[in-house]
Amino acid sequence: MEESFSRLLENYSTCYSDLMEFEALKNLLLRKEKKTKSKIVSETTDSSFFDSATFFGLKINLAHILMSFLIKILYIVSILQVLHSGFSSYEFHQLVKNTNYKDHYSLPKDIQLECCIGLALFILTSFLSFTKLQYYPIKPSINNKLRLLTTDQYLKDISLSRANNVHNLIGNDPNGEVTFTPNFVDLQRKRKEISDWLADNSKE
Amino acid sequence: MSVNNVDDNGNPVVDLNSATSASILQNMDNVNYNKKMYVNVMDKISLMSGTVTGILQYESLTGFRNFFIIYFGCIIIYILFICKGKPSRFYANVFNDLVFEHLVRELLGFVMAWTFSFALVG
Amino acid sequence: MKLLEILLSEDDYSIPELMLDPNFKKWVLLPISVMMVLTGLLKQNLLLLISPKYRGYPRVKLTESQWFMRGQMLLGNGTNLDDDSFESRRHEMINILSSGTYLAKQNKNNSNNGSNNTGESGVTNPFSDPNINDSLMTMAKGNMANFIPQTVIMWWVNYFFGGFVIMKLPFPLTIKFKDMLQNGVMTENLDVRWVSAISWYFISVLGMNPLYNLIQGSDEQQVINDNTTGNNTNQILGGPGQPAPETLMKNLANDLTIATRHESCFVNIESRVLKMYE
Repeated sequence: MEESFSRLLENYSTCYSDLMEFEALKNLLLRKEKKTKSKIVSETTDSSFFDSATFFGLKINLAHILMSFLIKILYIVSILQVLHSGFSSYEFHQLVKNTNYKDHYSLPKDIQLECCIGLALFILTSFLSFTKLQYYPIKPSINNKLRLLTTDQYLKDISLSRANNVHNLIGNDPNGEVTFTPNFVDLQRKRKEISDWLADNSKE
Repeated sequence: MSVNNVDDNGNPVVDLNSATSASILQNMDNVNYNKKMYVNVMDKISLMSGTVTGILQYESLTGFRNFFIIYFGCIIIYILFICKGKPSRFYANVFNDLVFEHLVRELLGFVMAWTFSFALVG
Repeated sequence: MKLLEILLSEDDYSIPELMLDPNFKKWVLLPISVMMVLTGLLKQNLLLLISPKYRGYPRVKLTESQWFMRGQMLLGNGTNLDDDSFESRRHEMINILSSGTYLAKQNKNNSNNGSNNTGESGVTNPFSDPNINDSLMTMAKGNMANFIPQTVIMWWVNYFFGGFVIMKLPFPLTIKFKDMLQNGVMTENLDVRWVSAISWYFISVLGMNPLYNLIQGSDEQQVINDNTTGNNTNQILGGPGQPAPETLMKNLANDLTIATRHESCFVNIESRVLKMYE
C-alpha cells in the first residue's frame, strides 16, 4: 500500500497524461493516510503556558528550554565527577607506588563508586539529550493558526510515505527547487490572481 | 515486472538510476540524520567509558569486557527508548547499522581513551 | 589467536613494574595528544579549503544524459502507465534515442569525415579534458593533505620523543609488536606492554575519529565525501572509461524495442483499491 503510493508520487512526471486517474487515486489513498497522520503528530495547545510561550514574537517550548538547560548541567556534573575520581585515583596510585604493599591495596570503594556513577550519569544524560522532534509549520494549518507541532519520536522516519507526511503537514515542499523555478510557475495565473484581488479591494 | 533490464547480449543494462531505485522508498536525508544521531551518542559514550576504564585501572580482558557490556547495553537502551522498540522504522538494516557498522570505530576510540587515562593515572 | 591466548591467560602473566618519571606524562604524552588533535582539525579545515568547487556542464551534455535517463525511467517505471500511453512514449523514445537527436557531439562528428569518426571517438585522452584534469588535481591535493601531516608528525614524534619508554599499555600484545612499539629502546627482555611514544601516536591515529566527530560535528571522511560527491547528483554520460554515449543510447533503444510485454498497474485498480477499504 505504502509502496504503490510512493511509487506513484515518485513517477509523477512520467504519469502526467494520466493526471486525472492519478489525482483520483491519490485522493483516495490520502484519505487513508490521514488516519495514520493524526496518530503520529499531536499539536500543542496554546492555553498551557508551560508548553509554549510567546518569546520575541516566537512561540517557544518552555519545557524544551528547561530540559536542555538541565541536560547541560547534568553533563557538567558527570564530567566533573569522572575528573574528580580520576584525580583521586591518580593520587592514590602515586601514594601506593612508593610503598611496598602495592598488591595489598586496591582502589578504594568510594573512588570506584564515584567513577561508575559519573559514567552512568553521563550515559543517562546523553540519552536524555535526545529531544522529541518539533516542527514549526510554514503555512497555517487548521483554524488559520500557526502552531508548534510536536511529534512523539526522536528520530525521523525513513520510509518515504511517512517522511512525506511530515513534509505535507509543515507545508514544506522537498521539491521546491523545481516547483518554484520561475520558468515553471504559471505567471499568467498569478498575475490574474493579483489583479483580481486588487480589483476586489479597490471597490471597497 | 514485465520489463527485463537486459540488453540483447544478455548483459544487464547500466542502470544510471540505480542509486535512487534501490532506496526508492527511503528518504535518504532522514536515513543519514538517524545514523548521525546514533554515531554521535555512541562516540560520546565510548570515549567516556574508555576514560572511566582507565581511571579504574582495569587491564586487558576486564577492560574489553567493560567495553562490550557498555556498548551492547547502550544499543539495547537506544532501541528501547530512542527507537521506541521499533528500530526498523528508523534504520533500514538494523543489525548492520546499529551493531557492526561502527563497532571498530568505537572500539578504537575506547582503546585510545582507555590507554590515555590508564597511562595518566597509573 | 595467540593474542587471544595471552589475553585469556592474564592471571599468571604479571610483569615487573618500572618506575617512570612522572614528567614523561606532562611533557611527552600530553604534547603529542594535543598536537594530534590540532593537526587533525587543521587537516579537516585544509581539506575544506582545497575541496573542488561546483563544476558545471554544457547544456547539450546535460540534455543528452537527461534523455538517456528518461529512457531508463520509462523502462523501469513503465508499469505506472497504462498500455496506450506506454506504447506512445516507447515509440517516441525509440525514435529519439536511435536517431541520436540529442547527442552532444553529433554535429561535430557529422561534419568530420565518416571514416575517422569511429577510431577517434573510441579512445579519448583523459588528460585533454580540463574538467577531468581538475578533478585529478583535487584528488592529488587531497592525498597530499592527508599524508603530509602524518609524515611530519611521525618524524616529530620519532625525533623528539624517541629512544625511551613512556607508558604501559593496559592490554598485553604479542612479541611481534616489540619491534614497532619499542622502536629505539635497547632492552631485549622488556615486556611489550611498555611502549615508546610512537605507539601512542599509532593508537591516537586510529582512535581519533570519535573525538573529531565530537569536536567538529563531522569526521574527516564525511567532510571529504560531502565535498566530492555532494554536487554530483546528476550522472553525466560518457565519462572516462565509460562507453560512448552514442552506443549507450543505441542499446537503450534496442531494449525499448523489445520491451513489448507491458503490464499496467492500472489494470483492475478500482477493485484493488476498494479492497483496501473493506
